[in-house]
Amino acid sequence: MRMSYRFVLGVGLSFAAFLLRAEVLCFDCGTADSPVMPGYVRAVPGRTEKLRWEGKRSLHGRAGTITRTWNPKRAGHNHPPLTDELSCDYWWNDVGGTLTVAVPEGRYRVWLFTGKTQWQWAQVWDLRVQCGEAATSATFPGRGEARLLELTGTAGKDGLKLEFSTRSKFALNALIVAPEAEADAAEAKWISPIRLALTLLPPEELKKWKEIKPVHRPEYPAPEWTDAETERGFALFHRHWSEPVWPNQFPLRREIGAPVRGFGVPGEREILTVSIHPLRDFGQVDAVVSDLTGADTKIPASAVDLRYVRYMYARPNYMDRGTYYRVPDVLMPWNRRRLAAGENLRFWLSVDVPADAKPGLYRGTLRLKLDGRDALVPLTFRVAGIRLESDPRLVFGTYYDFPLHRMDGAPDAFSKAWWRHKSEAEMAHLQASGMNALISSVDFERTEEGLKVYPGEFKRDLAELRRFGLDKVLILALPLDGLYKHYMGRAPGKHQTDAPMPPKEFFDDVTKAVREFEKVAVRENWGERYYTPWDEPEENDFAVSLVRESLKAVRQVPGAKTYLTADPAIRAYRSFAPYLDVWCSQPFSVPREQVGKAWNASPQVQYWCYPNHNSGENDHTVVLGGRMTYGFGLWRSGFRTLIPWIYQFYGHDQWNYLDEYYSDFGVRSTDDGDPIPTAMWEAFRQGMQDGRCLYTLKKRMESARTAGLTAEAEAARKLLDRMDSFVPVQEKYIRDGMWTPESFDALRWELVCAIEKIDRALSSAKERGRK
Amino acid sequence: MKRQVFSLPLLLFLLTCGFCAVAEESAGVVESRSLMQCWPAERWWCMTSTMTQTADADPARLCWKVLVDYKGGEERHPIGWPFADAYLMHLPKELQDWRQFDELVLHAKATFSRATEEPLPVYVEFCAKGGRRLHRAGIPDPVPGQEREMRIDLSQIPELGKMAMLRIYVYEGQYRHGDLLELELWDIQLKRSKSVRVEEFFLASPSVFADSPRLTGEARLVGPDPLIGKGISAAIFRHGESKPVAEKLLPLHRGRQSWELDLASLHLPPGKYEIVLFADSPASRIVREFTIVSSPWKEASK
Repeated sequence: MRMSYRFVLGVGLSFAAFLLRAEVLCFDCGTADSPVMPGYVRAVPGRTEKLRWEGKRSLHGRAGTITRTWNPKRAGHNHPPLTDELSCDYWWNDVGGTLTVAVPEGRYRVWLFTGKTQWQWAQVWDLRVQCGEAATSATFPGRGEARLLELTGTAGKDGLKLEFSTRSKFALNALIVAPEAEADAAEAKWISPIRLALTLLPPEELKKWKEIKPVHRPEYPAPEWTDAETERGFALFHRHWSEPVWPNQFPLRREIGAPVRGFGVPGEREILTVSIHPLRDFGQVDAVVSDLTGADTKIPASAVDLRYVRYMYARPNYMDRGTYYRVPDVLMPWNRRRLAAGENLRFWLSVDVPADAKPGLYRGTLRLKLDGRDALVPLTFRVAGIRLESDPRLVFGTYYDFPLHRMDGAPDAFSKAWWRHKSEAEMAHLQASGMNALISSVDFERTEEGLKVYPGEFKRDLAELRRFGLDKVLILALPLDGLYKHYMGRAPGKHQTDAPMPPKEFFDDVTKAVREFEKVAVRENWGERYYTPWDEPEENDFAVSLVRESLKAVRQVPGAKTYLTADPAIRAYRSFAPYLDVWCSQPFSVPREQVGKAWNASPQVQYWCYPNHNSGENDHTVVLGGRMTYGFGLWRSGFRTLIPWIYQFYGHDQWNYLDEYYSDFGVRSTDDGDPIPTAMWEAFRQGMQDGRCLYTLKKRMESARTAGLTAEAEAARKLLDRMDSFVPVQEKYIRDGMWTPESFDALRWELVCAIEKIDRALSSAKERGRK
Repeated sequence: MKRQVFSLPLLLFLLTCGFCAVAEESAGVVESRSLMQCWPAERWWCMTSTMTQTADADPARLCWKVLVDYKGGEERHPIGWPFADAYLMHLPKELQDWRQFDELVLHAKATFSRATEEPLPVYVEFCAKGGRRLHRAGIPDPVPGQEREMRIDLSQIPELGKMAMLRIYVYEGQYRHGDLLELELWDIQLKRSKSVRVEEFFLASPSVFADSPRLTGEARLVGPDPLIGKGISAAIFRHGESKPVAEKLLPLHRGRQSWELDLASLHLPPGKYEIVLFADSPASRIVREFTIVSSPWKEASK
């Protein structure tokens, strides 16, 4: 009987607890009649049970459209972001306030889904949510980016209070609140599908895609783990920075415990990397880099930029739709993270050697903490006692989407300031990376009143370029698509593939517009400049004729020079030759001798290269190829310029490379608009540094010769000749047939030592002269 | 004597294969096996195109004709995507496994119904059963009216053991309705070296640090497997010296491959060195220079 009483009491209490237990609340925020995600509660501003908003201004509901799959007929940038019931609609507000969720007292995990607003391109969305001490935030531009924010907070007697604030506007598409005890289950049931749609694609579209194994990803067998590695649950390994560490790839045994070391030159950047291969899950990993300490000096830890390599889902080709793989790509600022068994974590340390760093050997550590357990990675660094010089002839540029142009369309002060900051931060980054030119554009149009030329639009860009030293040459794109449309009533097609010849007036307008720009350019001393009427023409008769006549029209203006992305090796383009000053091809397709001859000829013809194969347009892991192209490859080619497409390319969400017609690639942005480089971008910088070593040695050789140091000059010449003979010449440096990463370093070290030797000899000679 | 013993069964085999005459060049260091007689015109399976054989030419030539017809089928594409297939099963047994050969060589000449200076997109494809493409190679710059020799390194073709047919194929994009392409093919041959030769030898590490001297590179080796054995002997010389500082076996096999040689155990001092293959045979000798440089991370000096 007693047993029976206890049993009934137990069941009764359990039932009562079940009835009183806090539930997982899922709100789909939108309007009164916008679609609602199954399982979610429709949340309409001011009319939702369990949600109460208090603020200076009320919340507004807004609904966009649902686009579950790709419509191939809407290719290009006009395609709306992919959305579902949850992401198609949202609440928005522009001042903030308090949202109270009516839940029983206790600890809760809260997820906030914000973004995919389908509103204005130039709007910067900004949201900060605080709950007690915990806070989370997101700032992002445009109409297609989205974030899933998470925080944990405590509900009091009055419920769970979420303080919303914004500096412009915020959007809230969904709110999920789960008692802490049920948070993991809620995560699996409600949050995982959102994450999947954000990082990959919505399910309807994703089922048409296939995850593939990239052909260029090497697979290594699992090493035999030592007892120590098994016991602590991870292995630390070192691979040269220019070789990718893929997410679930075993390290080679020789990489495990390999020394982490590098050498650098004052004023230059050098990269060190360390990777963890976890044998089990880790809840929290943290890392701290120490000062690098020399004999009586140090490089402060603040000069070492600590990042980690973020894996992204990417396509094998930027226009491919249907296949993807996971790829090491973006160099994210370091923050504590979880680690899943088998998934490598690569730390990326950029040592910016201070300009006044003393030569010598430095040592430091990367201190890792994995679930409270320490691991120390020793770092060894040599600073060389030289300074590098840059070849003033070379142009390093990139195609570029000017944030200032977006700023003009921004609807509020915060958005405008954000774009302004993005512009300044990126230009400073471009300059620090060694860039000295950007592709820009000049504007004109044919209206009913006549031809209108707007040189003023470019003047602001020019001022910005000059401010950051990005005006070595100006490449000015002419807006001929619009003019063509005016005369022909239709677009000329991508790469002018279907462009019948426009009337003579079209070309007259081109000449007139360029004449106007030239007047201003001469008056205001714009410097070396080239006009580019079209881009990458097709090889058919339509395109070739249109482009040739357009080039001719530009050259009608005395002094006006032309640039075109066209490979001089292609027969169809031969007729461009009389009207073209700069041939810009993807490969180094012209032999060095011909390049040199053309450079010295009159009129001068230049050969430039736009190495899109190294920029991430297709393959995000051509890191070694990037270094080769920008350093030894460029030096050996005799070309003057590298100007790939593009510094940053993104469509809807910069953190999703699959959600637009073209894949995203290139430098990413923080919430503040600061640049986040990729491994490939850093490879450009390292290649340029190789080039500076070669150039500096050449200059030192000349100085040695002038100073009568014949033996030193001769040794330098021999070294440069030997390097020249070593270069495995290719038209495109991608992955195969190149030196090993370590050999790149050893060759650079040979150059550094040779420069140092001549510097010593020159300074001794100077000393002797004084005496 | 050995040769006669080898040839008699081969001859008998060829006779049983319907007189499929496979020529074997005995002279020189390269063995060539012609496929022309095994693949006469009627053996080629053609899609929306025809294959004929010229009787008067010497050597005999195959002629593949493609009349581009955009209007009879799918818009903007030649009907049926023209191609011509020849099957390996029609070759004598010992020619069916192309992994046993180094190269495929063929000669081609294209004529075209309209004047163009542009190369014509014509390809040779290596296909597995069912038409799965293993490899595609473009006939180099096939300008109308000009003869071209095409050499395809068989070692670069993945899954060559699965190859079932050779396909001649055109890329439709640059043709127009009514175009007539005629492609003559002759002297289709499989070749293999009778002696061991390193055709390509790339040293990817022309400079190495003294504390981690690992040489790596890529090589292409031809020749009979039994003669190659476990690899090729490589000698390391200090520049200017005649006596090697070390001799190592490079474990190369036939075909294209990466190679690696760890010199750490030799403790070589910084300086200029050479890696030499076939050091004793001046005719086949291959030399690549490399430098061992002082480690920047040595405590006392660099």
